[in-house]
Amino acid sequence: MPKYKGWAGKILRVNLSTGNITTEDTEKYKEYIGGMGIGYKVMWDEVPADVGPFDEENKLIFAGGPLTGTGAPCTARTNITSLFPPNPENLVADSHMGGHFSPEMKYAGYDAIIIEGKASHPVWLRIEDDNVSLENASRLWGQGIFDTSADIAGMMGQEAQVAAIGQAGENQANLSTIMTNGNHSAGGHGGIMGAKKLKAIGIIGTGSVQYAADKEDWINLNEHVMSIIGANNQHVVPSTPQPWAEYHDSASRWTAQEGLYWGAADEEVETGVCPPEDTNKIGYRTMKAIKDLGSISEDYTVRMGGCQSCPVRCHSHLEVPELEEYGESRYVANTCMGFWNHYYVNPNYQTEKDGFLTKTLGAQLADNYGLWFNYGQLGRDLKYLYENNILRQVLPGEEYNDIPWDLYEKGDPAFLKDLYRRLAYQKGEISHLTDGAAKLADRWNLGEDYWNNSSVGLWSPMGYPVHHANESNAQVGSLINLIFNRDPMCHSHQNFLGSGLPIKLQKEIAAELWGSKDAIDVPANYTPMNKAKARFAKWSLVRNVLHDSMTVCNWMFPMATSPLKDRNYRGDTTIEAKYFSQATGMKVSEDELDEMGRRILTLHRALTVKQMGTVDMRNKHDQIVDWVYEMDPDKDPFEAGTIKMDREDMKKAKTMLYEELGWDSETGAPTAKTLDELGLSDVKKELASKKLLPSKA
Amino acid sequence: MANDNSQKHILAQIAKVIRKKSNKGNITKVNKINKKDIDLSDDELSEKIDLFKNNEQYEDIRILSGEKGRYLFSDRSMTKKYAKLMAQIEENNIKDSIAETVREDSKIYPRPTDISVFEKSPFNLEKDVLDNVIDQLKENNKYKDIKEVEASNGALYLYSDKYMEQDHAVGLTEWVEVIRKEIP
Repeated sequence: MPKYKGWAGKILRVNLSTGNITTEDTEKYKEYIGGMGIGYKVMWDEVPADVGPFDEENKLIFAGGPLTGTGAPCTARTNITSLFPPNPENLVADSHMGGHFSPEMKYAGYDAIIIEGKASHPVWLRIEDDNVSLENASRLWGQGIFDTSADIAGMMGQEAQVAAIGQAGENQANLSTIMTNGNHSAGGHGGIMGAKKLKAIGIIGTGSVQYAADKEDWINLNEHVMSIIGANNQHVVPSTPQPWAEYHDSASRWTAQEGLYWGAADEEVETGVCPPEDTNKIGYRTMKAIKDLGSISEDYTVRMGGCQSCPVRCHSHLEVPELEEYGESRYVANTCMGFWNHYYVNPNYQTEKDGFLTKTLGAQLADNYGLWFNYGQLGRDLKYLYENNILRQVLPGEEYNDIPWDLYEKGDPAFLKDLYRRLAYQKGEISHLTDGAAKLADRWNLGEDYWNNSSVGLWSPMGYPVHHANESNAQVGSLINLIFNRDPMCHSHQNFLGSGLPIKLQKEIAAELWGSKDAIDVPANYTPMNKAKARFAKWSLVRNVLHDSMTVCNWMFPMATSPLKDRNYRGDTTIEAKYFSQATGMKVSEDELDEMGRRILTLHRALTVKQMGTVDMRNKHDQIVDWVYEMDPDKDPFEAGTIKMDREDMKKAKTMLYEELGWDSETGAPTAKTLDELGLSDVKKELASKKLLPSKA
Repeated sequence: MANDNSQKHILAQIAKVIRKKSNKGNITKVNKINKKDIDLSDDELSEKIDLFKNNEQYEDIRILSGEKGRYLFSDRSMTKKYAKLMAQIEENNIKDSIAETVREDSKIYPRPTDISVFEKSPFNLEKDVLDNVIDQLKENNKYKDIKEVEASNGALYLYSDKYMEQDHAVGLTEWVEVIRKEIP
């Protein structure tokens, strides 16, 4: 792509069946930006609708975007696209990981790697710039992710970036990860690498990523971003009252404060007071350990870590000597659900210390095996099935009696050692916990009580749990949670709602961005659907797919707010378009870039229509389980104190979102007109040939 | 002229002390300005302080009246709200500082207040002291709007029923303490 910068210009295609390794120009994917966009385009063009996730014909696409590797803040995400085994219909979905993998891929000269076919024996893919080879992985097969990554780095050199699967992926567990850098994992696609017998990809890239802009403009834009950036999730107020701050919020991830230390560093490091203008201290702002693991973690925190080119360090790196008593390394790192998943699997722990050990031991084991937990769902499933005696019915007696339920009841972290081994090696009936909730419910004939139990936490009949849905601004979070084929991993709305600013300021900003202050509600005091909420939902979705395509971290962007009083706490939603323009030289406005995002989102919708073989997205896909409408029986929707939703109002909400996106207001499928407008006429033609265009459109 | 220069010099010295302390997160009580820094009697100092008012050169220097004295801070590095809170803490007026924090939380965000906030900086209250203060709030008519609410996990929150309905407080407490934490 000589005309444009940002992109590396080539895509690597590796056929594991034939051993063919080829490259092709990225140009044909330019309108789909990169990352998720490239992934959907390849899936649309090359994977027929009836293919299964573990079939040879399925493909797996690792992709960065034009910003990946440029060094712009928060741009190191890797997007992985394929069929999604935990989905009941194996519909296409993405998984994402941070770390350093995709920047290294760009430095090696590739915007994406398309994996196709199936190897006859275990292999790993070795990439050193133009030198690409498939290597025998027989010796690596059966190992965990930590040893595999270390062995590959031993063969390639310590600068190698490795993405690998563990035993869970090898054994094609639906809930398994692909992991890089020891603690950055992409959930749900590990089994596809396992089915293809691809153990790992190791990359060393010695090139660079060129940007089109004048150097001074580029630096100015970076400095602008550094001036308005907040803490993790773009929280813009500190968690405690501080001299510089007008506002605070105990839920904020801007935890830096006097007397809070990285207590296990060689020399204690005090996070201290970090006012916004002190950009050299951005890395101290977020001490995520105390959010995920409680105040006990302060003494175990060595440092905070994170992705390439990100000033916000959201991964907690800990030294926990007690893990050696369980036969595991004392050094553990992760963030957020990487720790919380295990709280759900071992919920009966008795002491704060056992809770801490549950989360850290669980992270260590799961990250090595490559197990995924569907945003905490696996643990909630286990609790429900155990407490309702369902496991006693569905597991063979010998197997049931072999599982140390006494440890589970006591909340002993050692329970995880036993359970996770069974899950990773897919041993016994219990291992079907990793099938994914919908497939599990089907196999064990779980009924209404399972689906409609708010403590189980399932949100969609597609088998994914509540994740910034109705609890996050009512219809807005709910709509966002309807569209994808897994939990949406969307934080566009959540970052704004969780900024920590007072409601008056938030409403002012909402009015500026989405046309009315009514785009947002006071939490747990909801109002009926309105047009501004539909705009907010559309914006959140479009930015989400843009971020996963460019690639930009959706846990930090969009930056609708800032910590700066002199900006009246306004952020800057034009940054993504400015970065895209400056990186590529392809000048786009904010609106034009959002339209590119709508194109990618609409292609995803078209893929879902094609795979499901129906245009009736409203009734066949965009559904919510009953508890969301039936919780808090003493309250009606829109009463203060509940996050309950109203069925008729949600029907209206869907219609309004479909209209905002240019999709058919009745079915929620893309219309012919919209497909043409978005340059997706080839998609329209194929859908028409399959009679999958809405009839009225 | 000499007096003018001397006065300017003294103001500059006082401002330097205030700014330095504000930068470190501290307010300055007028009668506690270090005599090593400024060689003035309390009365003379008090007079000089008023000269900061309407003085462009020192427009960042703010005077705050507490219940037990006057305080100075620089708004370049400290908000008025924080300075007021520090004055309340300095005067050991913990009940007001808690009640005002709770009222503001209920009014402007709105949210119930996690009482563990008061165990952290800048309040730094011991648990038993905090429990005792909360008991005192209940018995004092001045704080009758401050109510307790408990999340399903037992965590205690406070809210002001002047600004938040009980039903909302109950639902919001669960949302803040349980739902939002468990869906990180």
